Amino acid sequence: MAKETNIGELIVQLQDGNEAALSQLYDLYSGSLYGLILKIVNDDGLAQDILQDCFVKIWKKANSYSSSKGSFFTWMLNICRNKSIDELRKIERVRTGKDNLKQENVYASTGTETNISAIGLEDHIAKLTEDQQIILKYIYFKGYTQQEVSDELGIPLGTVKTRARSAVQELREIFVSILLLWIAKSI
Amino acid sequence: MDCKEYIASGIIERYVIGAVSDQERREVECMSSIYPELKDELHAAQSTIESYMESIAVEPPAGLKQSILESIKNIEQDPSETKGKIVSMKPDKAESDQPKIVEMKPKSRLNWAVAAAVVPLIGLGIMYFGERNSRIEANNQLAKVEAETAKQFEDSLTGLRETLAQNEAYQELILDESTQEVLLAGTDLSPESQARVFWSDAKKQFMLVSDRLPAPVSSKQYQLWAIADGVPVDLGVLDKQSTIVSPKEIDLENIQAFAITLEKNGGSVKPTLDQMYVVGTI
Repeated sequence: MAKETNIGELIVQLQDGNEAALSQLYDLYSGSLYGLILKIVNDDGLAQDILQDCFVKIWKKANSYSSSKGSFFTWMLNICRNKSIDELRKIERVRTGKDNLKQENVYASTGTETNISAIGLEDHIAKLTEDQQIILKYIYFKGYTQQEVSDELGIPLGTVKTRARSAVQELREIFVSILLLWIAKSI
Repeated sequence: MDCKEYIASGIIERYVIGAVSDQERREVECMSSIYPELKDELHAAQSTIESYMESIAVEPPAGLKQSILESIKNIEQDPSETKGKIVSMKPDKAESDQPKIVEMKPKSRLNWAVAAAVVPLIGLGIMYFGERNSRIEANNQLAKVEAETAKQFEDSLTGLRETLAQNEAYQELILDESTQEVLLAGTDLSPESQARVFWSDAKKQFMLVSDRLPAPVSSKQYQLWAIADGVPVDLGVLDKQSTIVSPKEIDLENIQAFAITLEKNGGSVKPTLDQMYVVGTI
């Protein structure tokens, strides 16, 4: 009989102080969380430190999570994103003035990305317009506010909002179409 | 409030990537806790971001997990507000472990007289209980043998009952007129593979027979998915020892397909798209 991968049950166990639950959650989510952190800080060593800190925080703050706050996955993603952006800003503060010319390339992460190449997801992500990709990069991966993006790129605030929204809509369509393709291809 | 209009404004999409002001953020959190329609929309948008993050997943280095598990050993979890208020029902250890001191000093002659009278009674009592104990012991031995036999019998009966109940459950689902058999055919990855799902939309129950899948390597496990409204839903990992998933209830509308992917042990949150072994549409 199938053992259900029941996330809800795991969360309850985690909130009860069960270390094995954390271990299982690590198995399920560490890849995505690590991928996100790497994309933000673009440094293996730092990314590992951040992942460790974040899992300690997930453990410590487990009781502050409730399903009314959305999915547990998103809750963890937010912890990792916030921490990574904090760290990135620390680095950038140090770096500012030294090599302003060096562009951090958020899209070139170091590790080997799983899943993507096999199904041509890269091509699909490339469907996002360059404008949409830049907005995602600045807002989601660098933590800029809309106003900061508007100032930095010299585009009106309204345009930033429209592009931010359309980027998410496009992603949503991409993932639905990948899934449908995936079904169609294999029948 | 008009939820449709609110959704159409695009604020939810902006919220999930952090492209909102603090005021807008609070607004979305408040509104979505009031209106289920907004909450669904919010979850769908969050799940898009989750899919995106799954797609850029990178396996962290092997030793990191152990190091994290070590480091949390000494860290207390913060209590939640409600948990902190619960008073433990366990008795205070310091109190209950303290030996009770009983005053034994006789206080008067009368006490001595009572004691003198009680001693022979105690003697008789010991004799009686001694006799009684050996009888009890014999009885206990007998009871033990009886209990063991009964337990063996009970165990095999329980086993039979379980098998019977299981077979009845299979039969009930398979013979139900609302049940359809969905053939999951092998993909290019594994053309020889095959599995069958019995699905009753009316009963919201399914079972799976997966006797024609290659044995997975020890670090991997098969996982069953339903695709409902274009979204994959986890239906659990398959037991390596069994090729049948007993009838289970799932509360899903508009199931379009079932599929099985090969995942790491314990399963994944989202299917690994290039590791699909079988799939079948309804």
